[in-house]
Amino acid sequence: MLEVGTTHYLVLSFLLFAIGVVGILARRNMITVLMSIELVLNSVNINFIAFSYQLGDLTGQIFAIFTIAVAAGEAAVGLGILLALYRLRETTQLDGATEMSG
Amino acid sequence: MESYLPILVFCVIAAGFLVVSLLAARLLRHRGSGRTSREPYECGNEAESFAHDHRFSIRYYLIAVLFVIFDVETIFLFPWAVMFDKLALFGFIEMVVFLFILIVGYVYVWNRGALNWA
Amino acid sequence: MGAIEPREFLLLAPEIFLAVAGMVVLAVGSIGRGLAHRTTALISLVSLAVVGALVLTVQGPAVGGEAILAGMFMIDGYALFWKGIFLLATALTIVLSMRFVEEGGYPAGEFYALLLFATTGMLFMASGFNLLSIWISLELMALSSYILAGYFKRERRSNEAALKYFILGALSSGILLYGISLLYGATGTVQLTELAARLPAAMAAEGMLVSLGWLLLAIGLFFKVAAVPFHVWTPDVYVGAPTPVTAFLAVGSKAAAFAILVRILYQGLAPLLVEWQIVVAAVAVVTMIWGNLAAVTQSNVKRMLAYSSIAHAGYVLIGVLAATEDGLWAVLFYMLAYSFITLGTFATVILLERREYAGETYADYAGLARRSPFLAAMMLIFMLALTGIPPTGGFFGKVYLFAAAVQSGWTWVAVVGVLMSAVSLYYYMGIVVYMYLRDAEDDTPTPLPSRLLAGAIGLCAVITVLLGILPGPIVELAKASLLQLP
Repeated sequence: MLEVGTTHYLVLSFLLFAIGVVGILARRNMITVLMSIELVLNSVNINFIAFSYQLGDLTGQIFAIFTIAVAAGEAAVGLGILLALYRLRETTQLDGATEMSG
Repeated sequence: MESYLPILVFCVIAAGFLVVSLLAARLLRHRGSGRTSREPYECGNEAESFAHDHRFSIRYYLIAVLFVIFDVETIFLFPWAVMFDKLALFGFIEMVVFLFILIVGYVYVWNRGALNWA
Repeated sequence: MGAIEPREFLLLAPEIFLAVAGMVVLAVGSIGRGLAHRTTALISLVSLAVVGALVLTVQGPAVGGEAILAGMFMIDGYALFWKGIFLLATALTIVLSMRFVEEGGYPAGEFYALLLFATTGMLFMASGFNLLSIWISLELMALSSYILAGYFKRERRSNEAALKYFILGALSSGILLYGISLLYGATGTVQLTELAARLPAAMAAEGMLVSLGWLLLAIGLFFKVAAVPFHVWTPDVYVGAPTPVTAFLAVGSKAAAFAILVRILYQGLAPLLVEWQIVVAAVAVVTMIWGNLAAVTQSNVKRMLAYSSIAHAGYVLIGVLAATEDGLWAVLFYMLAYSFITLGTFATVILLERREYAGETYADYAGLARRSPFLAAMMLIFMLALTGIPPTGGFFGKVYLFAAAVQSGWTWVAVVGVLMSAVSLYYYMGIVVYMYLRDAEDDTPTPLPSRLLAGAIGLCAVITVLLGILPGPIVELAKASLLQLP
């Protein structure tokens, strides 16, 4: 039977991380971008939990709990900015937000 | 082994309840067919319009966001509750401080009127 | 892990006080409408003064270095120096904001409360001694800054600035965090001294994890200090954000990011000195070249200042790169001088903003010497200082940085720095040319709209010049605020 080890978790978390980063950079809808940000933070959580289990050390789990809490705060701030964007422009697409040349 | 007997009984009863209720529902239910029964909100009334045509009030987001924040912060309560004995008074004071900060946030949200629906 | 003594919390009194002050300001601001403008600003300023006094009296005796709360935080001279910079920067930012917030018609309580929360985060960052505490403090600062950047929420540019800052900020903290998680996996710790102790063994066993981990961590930090190629957010955010917030981001956030960058590189990643020196050298050179060349092509003053702040991050990285005592105190001295210069510059821009976004094009500065000789003279001092011309603090700051680099064998990086400073002369003096040599359409002298603001500008200018004439005392102070070198 296949043994699921730390490496598998690392591969999974790396894939999630990559998907998240690509999503943040490439997607044009703010909601999708927010989801991608959550994906990145959760990939980090997987890492922390996997390492914590492997090392028999609790620090990783504590770190993960803090990450979850901060991710919630980040999501709230992001949604707030998104709401302001929506009120100004009636859209959640980021293409509209090009007042200043990037 | 004997101590597991109640669990076995519980499992059997739980599974039995499931099977019996599903079977009863299958036998007793009204066999209606057609468009209305496949609608997202089948409640007897026909839907006025399609859900995607409507924008939800922005307040839903506000309430949802507030809920998410306060809800996720409770994540810190679980480890504290598990270790309550060992953390003793120190942990208790820490948690009171933490909750106090949350309450300040709550009072602020209330003052700002974010909880008023109307 | 030993028991935590109450005394250790006492040592954190300044930070705790500031957090409480932020909550009080938030509460006061949310009760009344309108009346709270001056009150909240005043409470914020007074509490910053109290925090400053607390830092000196409570944490001052511990300058020798004391790790508290199980190695979460470190109270030492290095942290104290940075805290001084942060508190001064925030206090000046509040002075700059008062008129802006009042006229903007947005609630004041939240604005000042967010500033105080961001500053709390910065104070914790300066003392952070564990990647966990450093990261949480960084997030406290960053989340507050995102909201501040978008504070003029009915203003499209402000909203866009917040959006860009948020997306790229979140991305950078994600990258930073991923790096931390890999380092944790390789070493089993996130405490800086333990990390440094375990890194050599981990390098041998888990080379890939360690390399990827510290690289991602460093990239996250480069994002925060706005170093090329991780600077893309900077110009838009600086232009779009309300100008006092821009000043705060350019000074406070940047300084705080440097505080943790240096501490992590010097104390946590000390065994990887050779590796990170190469990366920092490359980033410093690219940052100086790109920042200065891009600044040359700008027509918007705020945008030019954004690229100039990128370029200055490059200069500071030279000092970080040296990894010698001379390099480190040069970084501290430079950041202090840079803070006053930049705050003064932005304060002048704010004073010129008669309408919402005026004072932004070079043309707005035409004939300023005749319209307002005082402002023109102040701007001249700041521009000289940013270029690094004596007698200003900017001159000595750059001399110290470049000298440290030369002494530690990074001569070519210092040469790039000198060359790029020469390039910067072009765009800084562009403003001076407009102020003194071009005529304005309207030549009538304009009175200063705010005495308080003018006073703040004057103070910044005086300190800038003082640092250029008598740098000695601050240099001594910086020399007493060093970290253990890698």
